[in-house]
Amino acid sequence: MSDLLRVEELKVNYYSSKGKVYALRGVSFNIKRGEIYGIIGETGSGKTTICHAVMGFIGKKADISGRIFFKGRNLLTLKEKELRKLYCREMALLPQSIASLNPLMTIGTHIEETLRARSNIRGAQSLKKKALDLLMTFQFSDPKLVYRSFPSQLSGGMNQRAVMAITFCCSPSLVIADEPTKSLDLGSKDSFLETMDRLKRERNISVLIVTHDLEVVEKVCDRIAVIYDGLFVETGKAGDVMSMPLHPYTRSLIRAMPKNGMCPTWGFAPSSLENNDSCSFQPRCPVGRRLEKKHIVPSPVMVGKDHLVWCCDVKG
Amino acid sequence: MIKKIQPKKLIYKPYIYFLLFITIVSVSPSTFSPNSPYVTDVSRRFEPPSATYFFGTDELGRCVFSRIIYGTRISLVTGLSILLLSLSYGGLLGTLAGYYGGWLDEVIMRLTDTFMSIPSSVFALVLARALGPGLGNVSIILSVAMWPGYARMIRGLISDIKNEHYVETAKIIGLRSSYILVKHILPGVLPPILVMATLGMGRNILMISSLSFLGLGIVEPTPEWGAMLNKGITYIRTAPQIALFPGLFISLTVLSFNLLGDQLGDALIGNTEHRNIFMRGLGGSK
Amino acid sequence: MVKTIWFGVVMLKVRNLTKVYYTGIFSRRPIFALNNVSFDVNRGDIFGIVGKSGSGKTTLAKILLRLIQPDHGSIYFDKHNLLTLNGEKLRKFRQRIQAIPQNYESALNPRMTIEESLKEVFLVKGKKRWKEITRKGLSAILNDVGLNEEHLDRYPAQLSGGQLQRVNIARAIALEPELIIADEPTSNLDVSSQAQIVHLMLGLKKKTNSTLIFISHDLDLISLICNRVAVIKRGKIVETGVTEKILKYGGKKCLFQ
Repeated sequence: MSDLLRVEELKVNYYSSKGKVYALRGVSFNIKRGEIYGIIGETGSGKTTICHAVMGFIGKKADISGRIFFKGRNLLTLKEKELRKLYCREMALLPQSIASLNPLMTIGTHIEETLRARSNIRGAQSLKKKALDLLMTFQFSDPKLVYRSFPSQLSGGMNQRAVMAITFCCSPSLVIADEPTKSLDLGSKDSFLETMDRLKRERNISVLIVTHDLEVVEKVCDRIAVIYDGLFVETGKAGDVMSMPLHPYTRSLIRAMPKNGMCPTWGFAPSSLENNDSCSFQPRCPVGRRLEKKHIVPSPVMVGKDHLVWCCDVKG
Repeated sequence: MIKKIQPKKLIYKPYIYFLLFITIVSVSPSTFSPNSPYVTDVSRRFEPPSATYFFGTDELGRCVFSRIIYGTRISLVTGLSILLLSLSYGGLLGTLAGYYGGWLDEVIMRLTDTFMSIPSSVFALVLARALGPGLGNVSIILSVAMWPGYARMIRGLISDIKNEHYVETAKIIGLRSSYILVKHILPGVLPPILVMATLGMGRNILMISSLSFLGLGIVEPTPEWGAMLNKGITYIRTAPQIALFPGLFISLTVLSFNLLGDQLGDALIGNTEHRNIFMRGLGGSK
Repeated sequence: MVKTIWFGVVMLKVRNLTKVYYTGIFSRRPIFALNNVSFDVNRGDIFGIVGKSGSGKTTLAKILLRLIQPDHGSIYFDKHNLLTLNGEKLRKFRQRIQAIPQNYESALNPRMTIEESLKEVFLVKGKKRWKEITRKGLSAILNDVGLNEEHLDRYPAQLSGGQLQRVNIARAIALEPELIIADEPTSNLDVSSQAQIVHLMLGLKKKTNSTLIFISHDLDLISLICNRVAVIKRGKIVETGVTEKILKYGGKKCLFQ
């Protein structure tokens, strides 16, 4: 079984003041070793919930069902203690913003703190050596200086790399990145993507990137999934989906990119308060809008190798 | 702001009933006291609690219970006037310092530093000597001791809120400074100040009692709890009721105000609406 | 999208704008947030300012909006020297230059409903005018930005990012300003919302005949919508001119070297 992570029929419901929120309505995917998997969605689509579910951050107040297999073990059946053992060493979460750095601690202290908590390395000398090695891997031109520096002394891009270094310090097999490029400008974004690519190739690390930025997906993902209102609408190889998008929602996202003319999609995002069989994109779909009846979402149609679409307009 | 805390959210705990009780009592003490607090009856000195004198009598044969009842008005009213006075000077100076900043801020803050560096008890004693006894003077003296705390708090809050993005936006639109202060800045200042004021009431009552205990400020035969406590200490072995009941009421009142302040703090500052303000940018507008 | 190149009247003249910050406790090294910045904006332009984060774009926006004072330089807006305006004169002048913020949520007072936030903008025109505003009038303004009457009674926490940004846009155009400065208005939004908001802004700009200064780090976006561009790098303007010329020939290279 070469799957590092396999998610089956994941469903998550939250309870809010407005009622039951169906964040995820049955999502399945798998990530192989050494693969970068991208999940594209917008705010409210459920993409962040997937990250939380895999990391085990979903609290007791939410309902969660389905299976999440990590290296063969179902994470949802694990006790908290056992789950925590996996953090950093097997699975790590890449924080979204550099605000997760403590402004009163040097980068070196950050790395050593994580190493001390999560790895078997002990002793000030070995910790320091490991930290410096790590910084060198992340292409810092002067690792010793960065080791001694505080976050406020480094630029935004350097801080981003430092955060990545901390995430990778215990060599996890799976890194989950929730909107990693949200606060980055173009230069930092490019260097971040380059680093991701290099880590994948050199160390066979798998990455789950959750984002709304299609540029990220284009440049660095191997396979992707597009999520809308808690369900996948299209999955497949990044190249295939981006060059030949079949679902109207995927098409609208690609059209909305500045380099493609920035065509806006009509309508607002759905509220996730209902869970029924009908297609939630229909009110905004150029085809579905003109139809009288509510469409039932069909089973996925396989178009080409590995390219799945959940759309009534697409026939096999 | 205040209308947003619905009464049912404030859990009715015993101390709220107590505070309500003493407030009602202070409004109309005569209805609640069976005897006059001033009439002396030397033949019935030091009597223990009985049917006629619920808390017994003091060294001059006066009903301790009635004196305590009349004392509620004195403590609450004086406490409130100290609060209002210190909030006025503290509020004004704190607002000027926080809003305008610069040299005005420096001058006002150095002024608060000066006042705060003088130990309040010494200060109060000196002022009491200068101004003489009487509850009115007590209010003035204690408000002078209390105002720096409010001034600093308000100044800090205002200078923080002044940097909020929505205040900056109001400035860009071209709204008047006075409007921005009243509509955008002050509502953010009110909740912490309300909590501070509630806790302050407790402190005020304690300080009034301390001053009276030291023999300053209160003119006999005013039934102020601290003064009663003072007199009662001498007779603590023979007639403990004279000191016990005033002491008990001081403690209960101060404790109740503190608990109220705590609960208000949780309700106003800990609730989700306010938490949203502090959690901007940490996950969008969901 | 049709871009017209206006060789028109110069509306904003920025000359030698400099802003210095000093760091270090003992050595007091100067850091030039803006270093001798000069450019012109013509009436009717969609003028783009592109640069990396930290290049000085936001400092420039704040100075243009008179929130911070520069150390040197001058700004002429329609023959007025912007930097000499103070007090009440400045306050009344502000109507002519409005802003669309990057952080859509924090720009609105979280304790006020959308109706209150929108209505207060009209106070600038005088109390009388403010009293004349009706709920219907406010609904009409919201309709112009793609929202409707039900949103009037909501609080900012109850609206999505795209909706909040629309409210900010409504507040910005309510006073019919001649110049709108948008500092990264779409950077925090989702892809579809970005497209919607940009379209909205362009449509409104045309309708109100105003001039737009669009600040961003997204080259693709700027090259799509702006007719003239200034590239800013470490506080200095490295190039200005017509978009096609600037960004076709090595604009990207010059930004990221």
